[in-house]
Amino acid sequence: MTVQENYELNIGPQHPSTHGVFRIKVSMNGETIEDLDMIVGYLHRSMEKLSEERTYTQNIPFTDRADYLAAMSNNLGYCLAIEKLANVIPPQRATVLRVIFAELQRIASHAMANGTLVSDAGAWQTPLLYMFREREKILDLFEMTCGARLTTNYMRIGGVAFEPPAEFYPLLNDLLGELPDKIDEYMDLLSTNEIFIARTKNVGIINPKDAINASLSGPALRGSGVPWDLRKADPYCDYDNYDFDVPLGLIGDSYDRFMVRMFEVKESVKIIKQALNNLPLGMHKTQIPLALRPEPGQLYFRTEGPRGELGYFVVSDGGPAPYRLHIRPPSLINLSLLKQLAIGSSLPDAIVTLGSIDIVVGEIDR
Amino acid sequence: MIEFSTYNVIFFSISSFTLISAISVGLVNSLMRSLFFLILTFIGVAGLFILLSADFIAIAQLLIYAGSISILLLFAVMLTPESSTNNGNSKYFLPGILIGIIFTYLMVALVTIFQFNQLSGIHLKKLDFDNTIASIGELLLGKYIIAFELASILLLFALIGAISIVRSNESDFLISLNNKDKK
Amino acid sequence: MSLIFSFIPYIKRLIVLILILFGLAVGFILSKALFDLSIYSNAVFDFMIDKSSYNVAYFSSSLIGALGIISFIGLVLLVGSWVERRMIAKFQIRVGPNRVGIFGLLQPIADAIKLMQKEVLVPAVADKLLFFIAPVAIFIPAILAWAPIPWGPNMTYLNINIGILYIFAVSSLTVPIIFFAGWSSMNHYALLGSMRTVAMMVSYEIPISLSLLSVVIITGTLNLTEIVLWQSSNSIWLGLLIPFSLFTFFFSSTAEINRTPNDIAEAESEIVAGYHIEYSGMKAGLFMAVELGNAVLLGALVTSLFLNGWFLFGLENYIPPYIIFIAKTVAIYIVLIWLRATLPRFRLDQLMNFAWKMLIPVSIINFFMIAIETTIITNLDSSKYIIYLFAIINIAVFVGLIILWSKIFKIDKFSPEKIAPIFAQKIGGIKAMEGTKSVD
Repeated sequence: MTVQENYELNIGPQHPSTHGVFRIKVSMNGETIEDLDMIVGYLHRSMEKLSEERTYTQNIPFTDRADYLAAMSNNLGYCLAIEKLANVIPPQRATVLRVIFAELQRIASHAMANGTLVSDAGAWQTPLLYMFREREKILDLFEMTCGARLTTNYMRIGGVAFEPPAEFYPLLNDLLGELPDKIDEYMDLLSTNEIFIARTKNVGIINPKDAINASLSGPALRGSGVPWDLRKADPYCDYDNYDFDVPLGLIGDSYDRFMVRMFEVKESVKIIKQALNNLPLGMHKTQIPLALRPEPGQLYFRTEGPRGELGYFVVSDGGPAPYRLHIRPPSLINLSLLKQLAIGSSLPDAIVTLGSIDIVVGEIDR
Repeated sequence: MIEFSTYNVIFFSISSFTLISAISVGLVNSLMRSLFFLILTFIGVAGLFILLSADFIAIAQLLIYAGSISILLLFAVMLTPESSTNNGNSKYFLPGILIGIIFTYLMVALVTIFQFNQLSGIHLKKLDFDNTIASIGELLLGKYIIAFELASILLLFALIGAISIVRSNESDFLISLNNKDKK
Repeated sequence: MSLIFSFIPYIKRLIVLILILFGLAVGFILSKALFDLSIYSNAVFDFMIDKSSYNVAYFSSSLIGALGIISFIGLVLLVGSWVERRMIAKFQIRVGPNRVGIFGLLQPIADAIKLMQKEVLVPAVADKLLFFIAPVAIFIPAILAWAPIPWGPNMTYLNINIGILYIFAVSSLTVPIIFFAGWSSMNHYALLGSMRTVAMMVSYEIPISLSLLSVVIITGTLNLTEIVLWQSSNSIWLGLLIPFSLFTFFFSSTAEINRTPNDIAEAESEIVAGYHIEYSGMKAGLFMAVELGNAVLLGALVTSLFLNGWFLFGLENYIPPYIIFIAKTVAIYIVLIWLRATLPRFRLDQLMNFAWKMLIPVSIINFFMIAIETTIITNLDSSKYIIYLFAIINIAVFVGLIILWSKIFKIDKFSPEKIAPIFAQKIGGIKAMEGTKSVD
């Protein structure tokens, strides 16, 4: 009899498709994954502990660096949580601007996620760079508004930091005009590509029960066909006033997650158009005290980030700094299913599954 | 005495290359390295065939032995445990040497018994590659047709046998999987 | 003054245009002298035969030919990497290398200098001998395989009767070398990559040999020059006469030389670099160079086997034939770049299934069909017109077989209706989630 021996393979911390310094220790039998151990923590920067030493406003830049591909969404979640804790009511214009920027960030993040997924499936970065074309335009918009492209630090407690400049709006309108066509272009390029379908269809299927039990959220959950979107289920920023749909997947494979993101981009375009039409005049920020001291108490506030439910748990003891700040990173929770999905599949499938779950290691390790 | 000509220089360089790599196959400790030298030996033998104007045989030697049989051997070596570094302390060391001596004796005996005068290389000095394939093809499908067909049937049996062996393993595997589910 | 400066971006292009025009003019003047490069090695032979023996003259004249081919390969390795990078940059809406020299033309040289300066790291547990030999040895078949390529009417370096078999045999030598490279690195990624390579090459050699057999059976020769001449004497390109063989040969060869969509042996996103993961410096550069050289070699093979070699509708009488040959080769190479820039990668098992379940059976059918056609052609006198008829039949069968195969294995093309989004009618539809509205 032949003796079969599994061998260990370390995928990461430096690996082209782990999307950062994330390590998977895989026990393989030939090309099949028999066991898998996910090791995180290479990017741990002790954000939650450090934030206990700083004022509430000083903590906003930390949220940029948690999910560095969706800084606006992270800013938004944090600011909304603190506003609710301190009973600060932002002006109407700030709320609409926040929606615009959060949705732009969602488009940019989804472009990155889908681009890297196709890159993981082996396309030599062409779709990734196509998607970067639109992402670059969005980042340019960010830059002209707040001076930064990646770590924007744009939202403030009680509003947004800056009013967008005058040339922002025509550029944004141009972008919104051409985005649906560009999405259709990617659809032509990818969603009917035989090789891409062969690589992603029926790969990494998450059934709805498992998805809910693992408390997945975001496109990973909606890809499995579970209709859950916090913008509809638990509206913030007046999302209930906007008319948009929540796209769902059919069976929950990598292809569905990819397509859900594609369609969500279109829905985001719809939301931004409505927001631009209803942009009220007025202040973009309310004055808050330099050292904000909320009443003692605790609060968990959740928003729908590009990757899923982004929650902030804040405890205030009445001082100028939070007593405790905990971030619920959607990537970490979504990642928890990878072991179940990858065991028994081949290495390329596991890589595609990981790409379709769309993790950001900065958020996982914080 | 050996005549000093281009043909002889090439012949002796190729044959010494072949011999040295053939001896190295037995002398190196690592199985992978001996496989590497074995491939070099195959290539050297192909060179000798070219010197005998047998271009088709030479290419077949490269294609079948250096290209394909070596792959088969690679897989065989991969399945041997501890193949990588040291197999000098093998328990088959003494039997191996004995078999080697017997084999060498047989070879020498054969060479001395048979007359190889026709192949002494005197009239092969000028290389002549005309239509070797055509004549080989005519021989294979004419004079030696039965041997050729028998060989192809043998290969077919080998193929079917390999498939059936894999198939039976697969069904065993499925049965064991089902049992696992029942448990 | 500012007017002059505003023209600076155009001056570069102007210089290049002038250079190209100059080159064309010089080429026209020299076209007589450079029409047939074989006269130079023949001149060397004639010169040497008077002074020394036949063998020395033969050796020195063949050395000239070998030098020509090797310098062509060297040039191709340099220019090819530049072409590939620029083309892929164009596909990807980037600029590509444009800093070193005009249009970044000196970039490959800069890359090579950089690679040579880098330290060659050897893993402590590596099998030093094999680790050292593999990148050097892999260059030998890559260059040897160029020998029987017919560049022009008299310009075949090794005009042997078994040209196809020779290339096939020599290129099969790369398999063990790649395996040794991967195994001696003592790295799991490298071993995975080399195992993948071996499995893939062993599988894809069968469809390649079947498609080449079709070429051989229809032309009745294994000699590449004679295959080219057969195509021109029958005035049809073999690629049109037996399209399925062309497709099989091209696709399977992309698997053999590790190009997209079949580059699973060094799948960057999965096993990082495959068998050459542990190589650094110029050794890694050698592997890359061999890959590029093999891609161009595939172009040359397809050109001579299926695209009528140096013939191009009578143009070969006015332009040096080898220029036409190189142009066709580069065209095939650009198709390879195009594939690389657009397609994702197959999985190993999908590739294996494709080889064993589709390419091999259909190649056998194709082979038998061509055998029947060949007997008809050889037994009829007016073979010319029947060949055109067979070309049409073969193209129809080629399309039909592909459709049939996709029907049998139920690969439906995705219809746009299936891509239409499904929208949630109501949020929180699963039972477990009902009732949860918000957490305050």
